[in-house]
Amino acid sequence: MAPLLELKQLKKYYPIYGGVFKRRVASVRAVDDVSISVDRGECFGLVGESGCGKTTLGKTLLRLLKPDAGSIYFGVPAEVTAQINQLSRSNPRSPVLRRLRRKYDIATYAGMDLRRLRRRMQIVYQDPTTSLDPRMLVKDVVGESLYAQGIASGEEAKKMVMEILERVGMSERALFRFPHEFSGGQRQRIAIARALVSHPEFVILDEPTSAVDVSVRAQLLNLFQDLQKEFGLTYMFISHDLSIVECISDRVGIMYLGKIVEYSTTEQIFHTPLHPYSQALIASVPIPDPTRRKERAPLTGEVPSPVNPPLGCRFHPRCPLAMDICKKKEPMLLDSGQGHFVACYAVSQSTG
Amino acid sequence: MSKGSIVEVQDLEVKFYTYAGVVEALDGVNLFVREGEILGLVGETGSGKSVTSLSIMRLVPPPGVIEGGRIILRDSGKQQNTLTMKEDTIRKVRGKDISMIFQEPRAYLNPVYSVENQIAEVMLVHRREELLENSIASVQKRLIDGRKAVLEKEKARLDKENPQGEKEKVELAKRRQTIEKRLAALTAKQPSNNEIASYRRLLKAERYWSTENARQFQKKKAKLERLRATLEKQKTELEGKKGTEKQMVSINKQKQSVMAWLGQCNRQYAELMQVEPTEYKPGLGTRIPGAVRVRAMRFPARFNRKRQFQNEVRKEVVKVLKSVEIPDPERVARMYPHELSGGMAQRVVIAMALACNPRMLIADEPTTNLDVTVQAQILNLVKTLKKNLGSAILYITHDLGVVAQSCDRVAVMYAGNVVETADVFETFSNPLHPYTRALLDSIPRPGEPFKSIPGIVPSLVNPLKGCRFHDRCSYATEQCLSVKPKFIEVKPDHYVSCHLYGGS
Repeated sequence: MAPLLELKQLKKYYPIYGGVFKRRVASVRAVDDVSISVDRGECFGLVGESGCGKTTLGKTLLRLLKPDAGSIYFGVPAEVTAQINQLSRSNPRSPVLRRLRRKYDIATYAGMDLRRLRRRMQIVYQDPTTSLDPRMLVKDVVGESLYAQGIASGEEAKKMVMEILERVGMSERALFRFPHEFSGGQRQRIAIARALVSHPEFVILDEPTSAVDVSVRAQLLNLFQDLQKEFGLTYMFISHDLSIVECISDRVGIMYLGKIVEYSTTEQIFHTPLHPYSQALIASVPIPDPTRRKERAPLTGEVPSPVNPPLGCRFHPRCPLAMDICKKKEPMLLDSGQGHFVACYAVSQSTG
Repeated sequence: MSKGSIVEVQDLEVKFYTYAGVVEALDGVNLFVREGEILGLVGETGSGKSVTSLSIMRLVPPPGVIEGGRIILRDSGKQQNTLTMKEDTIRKVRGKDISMIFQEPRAYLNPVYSVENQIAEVMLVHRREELLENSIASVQKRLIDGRKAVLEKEKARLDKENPQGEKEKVELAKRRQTIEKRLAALTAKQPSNNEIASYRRLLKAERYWSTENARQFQKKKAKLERLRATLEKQKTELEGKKGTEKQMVSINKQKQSVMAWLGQCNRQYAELMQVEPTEYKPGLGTRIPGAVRVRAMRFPARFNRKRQFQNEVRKEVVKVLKSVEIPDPERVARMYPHELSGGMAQRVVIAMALACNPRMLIADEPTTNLDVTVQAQILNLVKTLKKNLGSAILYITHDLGVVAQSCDRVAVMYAGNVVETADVFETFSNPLHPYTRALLDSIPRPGEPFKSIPGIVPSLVNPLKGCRFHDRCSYATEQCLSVKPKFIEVKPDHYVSCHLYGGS
């Protein structure tokens, strides 16, 4: 089965301007050489500490931000992917490849192409209080994409808005109210309705539950799972809360300083994490069980600045297994068996 | 109910008088924190966790009002109700006996002052005397060391001398004796009362001299100088006068009174000049506002007392930064808050809270904004601090994982009430209150569907009568709708407020 979404060496650098002429003096390497694929119908969890580029990656692959390099293939037929792969290996300069990329690589899209794409990919943001326009009625907040995309208008649009609101657990009374009249959980439901009203294939959930309370969190997570089944959605679930990711994702990617350091199925990531960072991250999660206390913090220090990431493997200053090679050369993301990708010399050494 | 407790909160009621109505934020909260334990205070947003902690510090912001209850602070057998304390007294408690760590370290730190400045502020308020004594002691030590070095050098010189004559030998022995006597006297020397007093004066002056005082000082000085000039003039005039014997008697009398006035004037002038304020220039290296130069002290001039005091404070700051495991504390002390990372800023805030060795520390969601790896570090730090200091910690959080990992006891809050308090193992293995159970069930577990608590956290403007949880509780009975359950001890050290367990 062809993956729904495929990223190839995606890069997004934020420029830092300085000096007298405000020249570009440095860049924040928010997303640096990320290649992953997301299968149709799965929930891909993206985990990492704050500032590691999770949100930037999400926004870049939705083309809310323009990537600096790399390609994004979304919903491309399998044979086309195969052809692109084959051509970029054998003849990266061929005009056929260029034409194919123009057609399928959404990193090259602009104008109407992008606009059409928006219908198929959506996002739910972290904080519904700031992501909903306070001066728009709920019916307009939710219906806006219908009008903008020309999907429906008038009575038909209203019917669609009603349907989706009902589906996310809001009543008809919500239509003519403003976002501030709702509680945090309800606002997040409105944001979900807005994302789903145009029936997208792919939805990015960018920390959708970190602004709500524990009791509401479970309601929302259940809703996400139900909607996924009902609409056949593919999710990318961005979060720093590993306990939720473990429960909701099929596969998980772990990011550190703009790089994916490990990705595999949820089970493998949480039971046999290979990368030392993943191991530390998972061990840092406080277990809600007083009989299983941990006495030591697994990791010292903090995430370095992405403006000047450490040379070689970006994790080496904090890594307990760091070797000489880690300081010099960046490890590649390699398959260590059964689709378990890790970027670590220590792992590739031990597995041969 | 509260053996060995440091702080005990009894039936605390807090209301917020807002335009939307009266928010009954706390409705009879009962809890206590024992010496050397971490009490986790858990609850959802708006359950009153933070208001409880602010009430303990008596920092509830208006329009909040503490309507009733008692907060008892126990200090070596003494009991005090902080709610009835005078503002002056509670200010001595805040930061010293009870101190607080806030959720957002960057919002809490002042961006325009360096870290050491901000930590020193707490110390200068609560530990002035102690720091002062340390400072005197270290000046004394340096003084004595200096003199000792001189004497020892002299002694060494004498040892080398090899006199020939009998007379010279006796002379040398005498000199040696005197030096040895002096050395012995030196080591025994304590700071004299005079020295301590002059130091006190310095600190007092530092505290109260301001630019206003400096102006007054100038005025007074000018006045005294004018007065002295006139008196001197009168004196010379009187001295020049000559007359009959009778006249001379009256002249002498006048002269005497003028002399007395002059003496008084001179004395006042000398007193005034003892504490001469230099001009206060903000931002020009002056760290303590209203810095003064004190004259007529018995220390030699090369010991700058102010600097000495600053060094003493700085030493303490570095010590406290070291205690929160900050690498390179000397460098971090001179940094400004924007140069610190999130975890480091939180450590600085913790250092500030620990600057006066508080008996109780309130930590209001200290790790909510931090990453998991840093959170694990901070949690470990809190645990080591508990071990080392033996102070009580009230740890406010909504993360049950954090509670399980670090707390000794747990208090669960819901809508302005503490609904259950128990040992952490008891809470997780045998929760009694339906809300506690629901909360524990809402922890996501892989492979199981997410369990939520039906309904939403109620508004506290018109709170429900009876048990405030009854509309979301599946065990609710008639009684729950009207009667508020009492907070009772159902098992040793396990308190619940629910009708199911005889709270009626």
